[in-house]
Amino acid sequence: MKITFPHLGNSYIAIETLLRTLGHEPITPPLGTRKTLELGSKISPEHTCLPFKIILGNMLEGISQGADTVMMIGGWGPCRLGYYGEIQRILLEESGNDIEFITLEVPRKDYNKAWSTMRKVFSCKNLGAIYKGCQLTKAKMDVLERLENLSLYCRPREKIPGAISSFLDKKLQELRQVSSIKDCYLIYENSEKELEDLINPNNKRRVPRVGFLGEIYTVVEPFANLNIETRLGHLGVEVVRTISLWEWLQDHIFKKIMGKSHIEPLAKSADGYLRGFIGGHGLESVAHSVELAKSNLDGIIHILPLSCNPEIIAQGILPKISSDYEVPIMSLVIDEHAGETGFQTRLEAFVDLMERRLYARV
Amino acid sequence: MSQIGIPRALYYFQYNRLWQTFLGELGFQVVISPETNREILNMGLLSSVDGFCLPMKIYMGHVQYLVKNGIDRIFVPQIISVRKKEYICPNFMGLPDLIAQSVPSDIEIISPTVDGRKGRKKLIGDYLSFGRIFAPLERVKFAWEKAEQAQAEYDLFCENITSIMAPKINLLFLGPCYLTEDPFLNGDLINELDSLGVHVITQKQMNSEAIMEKQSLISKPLFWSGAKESFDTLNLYLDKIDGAVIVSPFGCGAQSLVNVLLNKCLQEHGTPNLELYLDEHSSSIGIQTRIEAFIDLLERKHYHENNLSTSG
Repeated sequence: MKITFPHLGNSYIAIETLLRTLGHEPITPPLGTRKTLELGSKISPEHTCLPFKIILGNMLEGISQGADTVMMIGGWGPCRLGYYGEIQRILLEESGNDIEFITLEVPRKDYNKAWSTMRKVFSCKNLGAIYKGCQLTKAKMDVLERLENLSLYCRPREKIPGAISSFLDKKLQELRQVSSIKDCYLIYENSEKELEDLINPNNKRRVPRVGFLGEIYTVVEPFANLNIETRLGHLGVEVVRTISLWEWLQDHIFKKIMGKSHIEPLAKSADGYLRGFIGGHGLESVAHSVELAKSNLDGIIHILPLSCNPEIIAQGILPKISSDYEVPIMSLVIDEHAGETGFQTRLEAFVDLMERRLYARV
Repeated sequence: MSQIGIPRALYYFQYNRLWQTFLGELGFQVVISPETNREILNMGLLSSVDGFCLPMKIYMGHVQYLVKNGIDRIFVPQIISVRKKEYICPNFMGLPDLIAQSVPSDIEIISPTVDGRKGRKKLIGDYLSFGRIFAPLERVKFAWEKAEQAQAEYDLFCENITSIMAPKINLLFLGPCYLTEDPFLNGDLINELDSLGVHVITQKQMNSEAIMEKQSLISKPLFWSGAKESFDTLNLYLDKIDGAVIVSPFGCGAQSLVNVLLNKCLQEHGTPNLELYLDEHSSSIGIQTRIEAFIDLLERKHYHENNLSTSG
């Protein structure tokens, strides 16, 4: 099958490998642009959130490149992501696309359908090859996140503005091509060395560090968050991530299957602010904010799409954390009308604030 | 006797009989905030984040009203789920923690966690263990039985309201109970429709036994209780109604998706429908105008359908 899938940051590099392993041809849609969003918004209901519209745009672009199947994740609430796949299937059908829609989720009731879907997904029957391919997928996921984290550290310290971003792009494309686990890690080791030359050794000024958290899609997908990580890097700020896709997969798929919960340690951190799971990444946002506030960061940026329910609760609780720990926290609400200039201005003002506090203290 | 305040908002409209009786039997003097008014709305707006939906802002307002009127103990349950494998809205799961921050620290927030995801037994257990804080087990059990009975009587009463009145225009009024039953929020829509001679059916008239025999209209089961009720009601009455009005709070996550499904069903069936999104800026006059126009349309279809030109 020719399968297309929505983008989530740079994860397409790993997803491509996984789909090939399973015996399919991946059709990677172009990275998100204004056009993607317009395509998606056109057939989306008005009140759905930004991720819904971008994801739908990705699917449409993938279909126009010749995909006959769309793959999407599902779930059973309370976050509405669980129902996205179903609605998107209906919307794609209504707009005249004759495609197969596969939603990956734990089945409820309709087990026969789930079984036939699984058989279609695993069209390669060689277990050894599947195992190997999964290992490679995991390695790629791991390396791409490590590369991203390296670039977050290096960007505010770079010699030539913009050098790190183009370096990262180059390395990610290399990673996309390789086909052995050894090569994946080789790319990472080489990058570590090569990056040393790109860093300005004379910069002794302490770089402000900002924690970055919120709803996972807007945190990870650069098109949705208007490239906030790069923007902050160029403003001389080191971004500290709290969300890792690989960890998210482990927490939500593997641990759930094993019957373990990832919620307890989070609830412990958030104690006194939020008593437990509220769907989506709401609890994570509050718990990580407390952890980051304790770890002496200069500021926290919280990002959410307009009308994202779990994050709205977090948005209501964060001001309390901000005043308790005396750490600046900014909540950014994003929808398809977000303007780049206004966004940049808010970031600059926040960076100014952090720098003043930082250098006044020193 | 110690006082306890219940805000007249959100799930009050569904479970007021249950809560009132239960807390009353436990020895509290229950105080309920008045019907929503402009003052309560303004207090709510002042203590909310702008991203909240209208019903949540209103809830905050009711809590503030109770605090202002000297109630120092407020009942804000954390309702996670009321039926097996379903959730209510994620916003309400974090509500007590939000409320705790918006009121002075000497106000006691009484907040049992009610989680029926694993079934009704667990849900009852949650209420009972909550009651144990205030009274011995025997008395809690007695209180629960009385409360459950009061709620069941009310539910039965609602289900038995005459559902379809043949010569009149029958209109299905869908949406969360905290919007359909708060006249301040929906521009007193039910009375307005009544004065226009329209018979209104709401989600409360959903008969849970009758729905079991019907085939589901959608392929993937919904996991939000409110949305599921909307759908089941539609399923029951789809053949008998002339039109449907769907109200949703602006910016509601679940509703934004469910409305797609509701619209699809109604359109496939050829039933006219009107979608209303409500926020604190909606005026009751605007709502009434739209409703009147919609009823005009239904009347033409209902009484003169055959005389209408097909080209419009």
